[in-house]
Amino acid sequence: MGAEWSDSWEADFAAARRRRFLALLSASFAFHLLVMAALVLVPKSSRPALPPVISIDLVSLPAPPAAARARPAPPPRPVVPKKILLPKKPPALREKPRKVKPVLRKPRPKEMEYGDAMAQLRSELGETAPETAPREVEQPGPSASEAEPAAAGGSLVSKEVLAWVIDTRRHVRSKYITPPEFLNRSLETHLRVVLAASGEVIGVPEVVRSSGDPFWDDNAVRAILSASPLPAPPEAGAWPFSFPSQDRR
Amino acid sequence: MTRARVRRLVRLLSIWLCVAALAPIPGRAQDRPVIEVTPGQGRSFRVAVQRFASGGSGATSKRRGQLKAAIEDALSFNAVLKPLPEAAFLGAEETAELTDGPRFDCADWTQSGAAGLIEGELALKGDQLRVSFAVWDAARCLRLLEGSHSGSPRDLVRLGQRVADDAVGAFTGSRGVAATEIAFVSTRTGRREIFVMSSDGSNARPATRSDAIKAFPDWLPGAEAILYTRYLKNGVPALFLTSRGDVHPGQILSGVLPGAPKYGGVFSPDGNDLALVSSINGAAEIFRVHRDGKKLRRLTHSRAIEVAPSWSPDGKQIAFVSDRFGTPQIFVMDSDGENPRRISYQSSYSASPAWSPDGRWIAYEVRAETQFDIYVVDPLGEVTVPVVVHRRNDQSPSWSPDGRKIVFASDRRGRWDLYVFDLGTGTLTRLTYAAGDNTAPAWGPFPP
Repeated sequence: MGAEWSDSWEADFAAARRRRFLALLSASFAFHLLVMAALVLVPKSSRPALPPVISIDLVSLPAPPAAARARPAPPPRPVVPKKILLPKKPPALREKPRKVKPVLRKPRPKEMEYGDAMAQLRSELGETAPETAPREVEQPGPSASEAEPAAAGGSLVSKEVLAWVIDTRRHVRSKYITPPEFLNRSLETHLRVVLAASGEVIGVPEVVRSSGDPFWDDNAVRAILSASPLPAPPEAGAWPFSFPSQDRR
Repeated sequence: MTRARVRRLVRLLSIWLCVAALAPIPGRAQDRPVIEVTPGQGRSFRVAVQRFASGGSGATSKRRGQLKAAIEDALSFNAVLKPLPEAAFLGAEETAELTDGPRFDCADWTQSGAAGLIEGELALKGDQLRVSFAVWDAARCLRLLEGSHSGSPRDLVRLGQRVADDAVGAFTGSRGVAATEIAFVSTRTGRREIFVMSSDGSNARPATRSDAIKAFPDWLPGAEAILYTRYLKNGVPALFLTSRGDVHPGQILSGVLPGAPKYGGVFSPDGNDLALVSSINGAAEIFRVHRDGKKLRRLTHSRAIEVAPSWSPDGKQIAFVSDRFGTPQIFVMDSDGENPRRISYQSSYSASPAWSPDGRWIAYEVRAETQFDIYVVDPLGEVTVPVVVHRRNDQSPSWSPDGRKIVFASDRRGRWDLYVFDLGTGTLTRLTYAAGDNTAPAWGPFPP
C-alpha cells in the first residue's frame, strides 16, 4: 500500500527537527562555555603585534567585449565552459609610426535611399549587414522588401529625417524590453504613432497591423510609451513604426 | 431632371472625388519611412511591488512584509519581471486602497523606472488568508489583471508566489512557475524516496515513506497525485500512486499484465491514459492503457529495448528510447504506436526524452565523450541544440510547465543534485543542498 502524501506530515517532521535543533544548540552552548573558561584560566602568551594593514590596488581588467548577437537560433544558449584563447603571436612591442594621410571626404548627397540609410544606421548600431544581395543585382520577389519594408519603391529620405530615424531607433531600443520567449517566434506589429513637434507621443499608439499575439502588440505599444518623449521629429504628425520579434538580417 | 443636368452632376462628383483623393490628409504616415525597431538588450520588466493594504486585524505588518518579500522572490525566480527596489519608488510604498477606479500616479511609476505595478490587500477571513491584487501596466496606465487567492496562514509564501506568477502571465500571456512543484527521487533519508519541493528548491518534503526502492516520479495532470515505480518484495517493479487529493493512493494496474514488471509510467496530458514499460520475453516494450486498466495496447514491436515514454502536449505522439539500431536513441511515434521514426543522431547514446509544453522541442540527455549533456531536438529531428554542456554529467531533463526552464540532475559537485536552467536568461540555479543523491526530477503542472 502506498503511503498517503499529506503536507500535514510536515508537522511531525518539523517537531523532530526542532528537538534535534535544541539538542545541538545545548551542546554548542556547553562547548562554547568550556572554551571561554579555558581562555580565562590559561595564562596569555605574549604574541607579536599584527603588522599594519597594507592596502593593495588591484589592476582592474578591461570589460569583456559584448557577446555577439545570436542568430535566431531556436532555443536557448548553451552553457559551455569558456575557453581562453591565447594569441598565436605576441603583440609587437612598438608600433610603427603610421603615416597620416589627409582624408578627402566626399560630400554626402543631401538625400539618400532608405536602404542605404538603414545600412548606415545598422553599421552605426553595430548590427550585421543584411543577408540580401547587393543592390545592383536584381532580386526576384520579396527579398528587398522583406529586408527593408520601407525601401520598397526606393523612397528617398532627407538627411534630416535619416538622422532622426537613427536617433529614434536607438532611443526606443534603449527602453525596449523583450521577454525571451518572444524572440524565437516570428511576430511583427505595425504601429501608427502620433508625435508632437517636441517628440511627445500623443495618445496611445494605434496598432495598424497586429502580430496576432496581443501580448506582443502590447509590448510594442509599451515600448513607444516608455520611450516618450522621442527625439523631436522633423515633422509633427503620425509616423509608422514596426516591431519585429526577430532581427531579419 | 434633364440628361445634360445629370451628366454635369456626375462630372462635378467625379472632380470632387479626384480632389478629395489627392488632398493631403493631416498626419498621414504612409509616405514616411517605417521605423523598424528590433529587440533591444532588455529582457525583463521592472515591476514595483507595493506593501499590500491591511484588510483587518489578521493582516499584521509582519505578514504583509512577508507577502511582499514572497512576491519579489517569486518574480526574481521567474526572471521575467524584476522587482523594483523600494528606494527607487516615487509612488506610494503601500497600497492605500484597492479600488476599481482610475489611478493618477502612473507617471510616478514610469519615472521610477517601473513598467508595472502590483498592488493589493491582505485580509484574514476566518482561518483563511485572502490576497486580493491588481497588476498595472504603468506606461499605458492600464489595469492588466485583478484577482485573488486564498489559503491558510501557513501558505502565505505560496500565496505570494501565485500573485507573482499571475503578474508574469499578465505581461507575457504565459503564467510563471514559482508556485509549481518538483517531484524527485532522493536518498537523503537513507532510503530511495519520492520527495516534493517548491520549484525554487524550498520546502522539500517526502511524499512516500517505506523501505521499498522508488523511481520515475510523474505528476497527474491536476497535481493532486504522483505516479511512481516501486519495487515489490519479489523484486518486480510495479506502479503506485501517492496522493494529497481525492485520488486513492496505492498500487494501480495490478490486474494488467499480471506478474510482469511495469515501470516508467506516465499519464497522458488529459490524464485518461498511461504509457508504461513492461517486459515481453525479456525485451522492454511500451504499452498504452486506460487508467482503469482497460484497453491495453502494445505500442512497440521489436526485439530491442524500448523505454522512457514521454507524451507530446497534445497527446497525439509519444517520444521514447529504443536501441533497435544498436544504440539507445530517441524516437517519436504516434500515440497508437504507428509511424515510429528516429530523431536523434548526435551521439551513440541518447536517453530520457521530455517533450516541451509548447510541443516544439524534446529535451534529452546525450553522451558526449565521457559525460552526459542536455540537448533539445525538434520533433522532426531536423534541428538539435545543446542546452547544458559541462564536463560532468547532466541527466534526466524535465520542463517547467511554462517552457521557460529545464530542471535536471547533475553530479557536477560530486554528488547528484538538481539544477534549474533558465532558457531565457541562461542562468543556472542549484535547487538541492541536503545530503544524499537527488535524481529523476519531474516538474509538476500549474496549480489549479
